[in-house]
Amino acid sequence: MLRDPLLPLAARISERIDETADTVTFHFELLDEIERKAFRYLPGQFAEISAFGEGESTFVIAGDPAKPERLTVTTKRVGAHTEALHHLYAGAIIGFRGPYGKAFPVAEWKGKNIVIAGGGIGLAPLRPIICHVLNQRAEYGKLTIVYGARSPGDLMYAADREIWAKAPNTELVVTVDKGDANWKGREGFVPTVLRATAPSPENAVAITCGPPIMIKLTLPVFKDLGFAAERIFTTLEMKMKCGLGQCGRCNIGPYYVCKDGPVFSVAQLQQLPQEF
Amino acid sequence: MADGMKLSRESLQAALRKRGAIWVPNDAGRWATVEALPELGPIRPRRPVKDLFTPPRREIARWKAGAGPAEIEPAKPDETPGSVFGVRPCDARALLLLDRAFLQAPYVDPHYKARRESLLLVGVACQPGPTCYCGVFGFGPDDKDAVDVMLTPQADGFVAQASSARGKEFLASVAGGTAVPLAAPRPGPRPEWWTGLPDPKALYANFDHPIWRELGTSCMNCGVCTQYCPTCQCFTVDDESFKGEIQRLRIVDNCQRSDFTRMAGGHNPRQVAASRLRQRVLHKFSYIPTQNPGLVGCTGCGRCVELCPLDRHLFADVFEIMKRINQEAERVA
Repeated sequence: MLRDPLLPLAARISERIDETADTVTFHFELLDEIERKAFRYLPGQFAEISAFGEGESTFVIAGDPAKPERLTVTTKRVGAHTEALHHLYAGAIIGFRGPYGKAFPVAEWKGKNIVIAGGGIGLAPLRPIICHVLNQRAEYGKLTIVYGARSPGDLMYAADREIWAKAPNTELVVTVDKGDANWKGREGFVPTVLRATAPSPENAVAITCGPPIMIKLTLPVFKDLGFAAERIFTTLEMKMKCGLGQCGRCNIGPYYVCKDGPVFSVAQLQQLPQEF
Repeated sequence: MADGMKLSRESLQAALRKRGAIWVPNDAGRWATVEALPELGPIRPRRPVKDLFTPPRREIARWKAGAGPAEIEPAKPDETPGSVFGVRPCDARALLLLDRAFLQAPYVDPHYKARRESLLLVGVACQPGPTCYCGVFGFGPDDKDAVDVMLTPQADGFVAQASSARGKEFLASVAGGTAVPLAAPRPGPRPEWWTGLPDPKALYANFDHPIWRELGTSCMNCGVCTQYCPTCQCFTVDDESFKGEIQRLRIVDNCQRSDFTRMAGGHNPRQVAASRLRQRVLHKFSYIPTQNPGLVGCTGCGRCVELCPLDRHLFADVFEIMKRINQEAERVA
C-alpha cells in the first residue's frame, strides 16, 4: 500500500552533544532495519524531525553522508518544538521524514578548491560537505573553512574542528565576534576574516551559511575576491512544513524551496523575488 | 450533435445507491452523505468539493501517550466506493489543480488518491450567481471536462452525458435511459469590463510595483478567501493530545496569516500584509501558470468575492494591477 509521505519513521537518539548554551546536536538511527540500511542522503538535504506529541520541524541533515546509518541534526532552541527536543537524551525516540530537497552539487565540484564560510549554527548544513570532501580527499583541491560565532561559547562541533585543523590540504580559520579572558584565537566577524584570509577564486567554489546578516555581508566579500555568482552557493531558509512541495509554505516565485532548493547558487537567488 | 441520455431521478438515484455512499451538498452547504438525492440550489454550495479530497483537518497518525511512537498507527485512507452528486464545474476543475499537488510522484498523498479513485464525480450544471466568473477561464456552467458524468436538470429528471470511461460505465448501469440530443453548452459569465487573463510573466516582473502596497492596505488578511477557495492547497502539520492519545494532524492553513511564513527564530519574509495579498494573487495568476502552462490557480467560483468582509474583488484587483502595468509600459514605449 502507498505510504503516506507525511508519516514519520521512528528513530532512536544514540548520542546527544550540547554544543552551546542553546544548541544541541543529536545523533540518531532509524529503528526499522530495512529503512536504516536503505537510507542515503547528500550534503544539503534536510529532514522533518519531531519530538513526538510536540509537532514537527525542519532541520538540515548535518551528518557524514558516507555513514547514512548514523543521522545527525543540530538544533537551536528557538520555539516550543525545539524546546521539547532539547528535553530528549540518548535512548529517546524521535520522528524522522526525509531526505528532502536538492543537495549541493558536490559531484560537479570534483577537482575544485572548496571555500566554506559559516557562522553560528550555519555550520550545520556545511558539515556534510566538509565530511564529504575529507572522505574523498584526493578528489578535491584545497579546502578552506572560515567559521565564526558570537563568542567562544557559541562555537560548535569542537571535536570536528580538531579533526579539520589537522586534515591534509585544509585550512581552518576560526573566529569569534568577541573573545573572553581565555580566548587566544582570532577576533572579528566572518566577512572581515574571510577577506583577510583571501582564498583564491581560481578553480574554486564558495559555500556560505549563517545568520541572514552574515550572509548578506559575506556575499560581497566573495564577489570582491573574484567569485562569480554561479560559483557561490547557500541554502535558503524558509518556513517549511511538509518538505514535499505540497503545503505551500516555502513557495517563493515559481519555486518551492523544499523541492527546487534549499540549495541555490547566488546567481539563482538573484533571479528570485527578494522575499526570503 | 452528441447524444445525451435522459434519466429519471429515481433510476439515477438507484444506480448511485448501488455504487455506494452518495455525497451531496447539504442545506448548510457542506458535503454530507444522504439516502435520497436532494434538490440542489442554483449555484455552487458554500464549501468547495475539495473538502472530500483534501479535508480541512485529517489525521496522519495516532499513538498512545507514553506508549512510544514505535507503535504509530497510521490513518487509513478512505476507499469506500461512492459518488459525489452536485459537483459544479468550477469545483471539479479545481480538483485538476489539486491533482498536480497531491498525485505527483514521488510524493503521492494516499488519502487524496483513494478518494479520487473511489468517488465518482457527478456534475450538475448550474445557474451562475452574481459573483461567478468561470467564463474568465474559458469554460461555463455546463462544462463536463473535470467530472465523470455531467447532468443537466430537467423538469422530470436529468439529461446525462459521460465524460470519462468510468462515467460511461456508470451511465450504462442506469436503468431506462433514452437517447436525447444535447443542448449547446452555455458560455460562462465574466465581468463585463474583463479584458483577459494577465500575462503571468508580466505580473511577476512587477513584483515590486507600488500597487501591491496600495491594494494591501485594504485587506485585513483574515484569509476567508483562501479558506473557501476550491484550489487552495496549503496545510500545516501539528500534534494534538486528547484522552491519552496523540494525533498527528494535517490541518488546512492559509497564506494570509501573518505567521504563515514566520520562522521559529522570528524572521518573516512576508511580514507586511501587502506582501501576503501579493503572494495570493501571484501564486494563482503567475506562479501556477508559469509552472503548469495552460492552468491558472483560480476557477472563477467567486466565493472569495462573495465572502470578503471588506468587499475586495479578486478579479477587479487583478484587472487593476494589469491596467496599471500596461499603462506604464505604454508610457515607456
